[in-house]
Amino acid sequence: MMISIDKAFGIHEKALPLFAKRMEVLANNISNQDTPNYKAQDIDFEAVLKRANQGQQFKKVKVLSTAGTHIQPDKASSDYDIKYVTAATPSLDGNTVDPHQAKTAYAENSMRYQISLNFLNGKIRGLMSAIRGE
Amino acid sequence: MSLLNVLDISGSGMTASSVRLSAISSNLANAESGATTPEEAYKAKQPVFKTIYDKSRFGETGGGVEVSDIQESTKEPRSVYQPSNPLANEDGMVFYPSINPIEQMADMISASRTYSNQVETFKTTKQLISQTLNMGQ
Repeated sequence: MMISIDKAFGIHEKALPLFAKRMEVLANNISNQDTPNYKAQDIDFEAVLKRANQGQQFKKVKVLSTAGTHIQPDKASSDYDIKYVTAATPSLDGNTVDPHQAKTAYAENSMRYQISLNFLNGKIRGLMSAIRGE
Repeated sequence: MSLLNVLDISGSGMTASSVRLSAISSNLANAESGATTPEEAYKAKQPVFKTIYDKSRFGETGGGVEVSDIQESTKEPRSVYQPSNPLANEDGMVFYPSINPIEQMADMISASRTYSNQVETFKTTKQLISQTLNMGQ
């Protein structure tokens, strides 16, 4: 029987960087809660998960460049959708960050990160005991 | 690693909030600083926040906040008749900045709340990083 180590980690291995990126986006929202005209952002997690379940990758669109100065789309934007959050109570200075919403989203995301981390830890421990044969 | 970027993002927020806090404390401290001419009177200072965009590090999302400018209040200073004040001009008038302490205090609470949010974010992220480093041990 072959144990495929790279398959053992399942979705968590890929979920961890995504949660880390979402942490970045949410921390940025918290940092900018007093910046005029700042629009709160978030990663559409469900869309990414749906695509991952269907085995689809974000298709990188090849843009036809007809002149040497044309720029190809950035690869950084190809793994997830960054969307703008609709504010329940937009403030007068054009800022759409709801501090409470931003904080709960951050807490929730760090929980999710920890969950994935725990799962990975469990998998690693399992593999280790299988390898050691204890 | 994205999580290390989060430390920078909340760090930038702490810096911006502390600039805001020091501007407020300067405004409050100088609320009663008199001057002989309206031009010499202290002007209330207010920092202007701006989102940092660094495409090479953070992609299309913002990477924290920075103070792009510190603006001085354009409000006319208050003129008070105090002939006995050594700062009084020939008409006996002394000019004081028009600073509303209540406004400043409310601003201070908002700034300190933002600061503590940044500290919480920083703490959580630090914990997650050390847990990630200990993965599989």
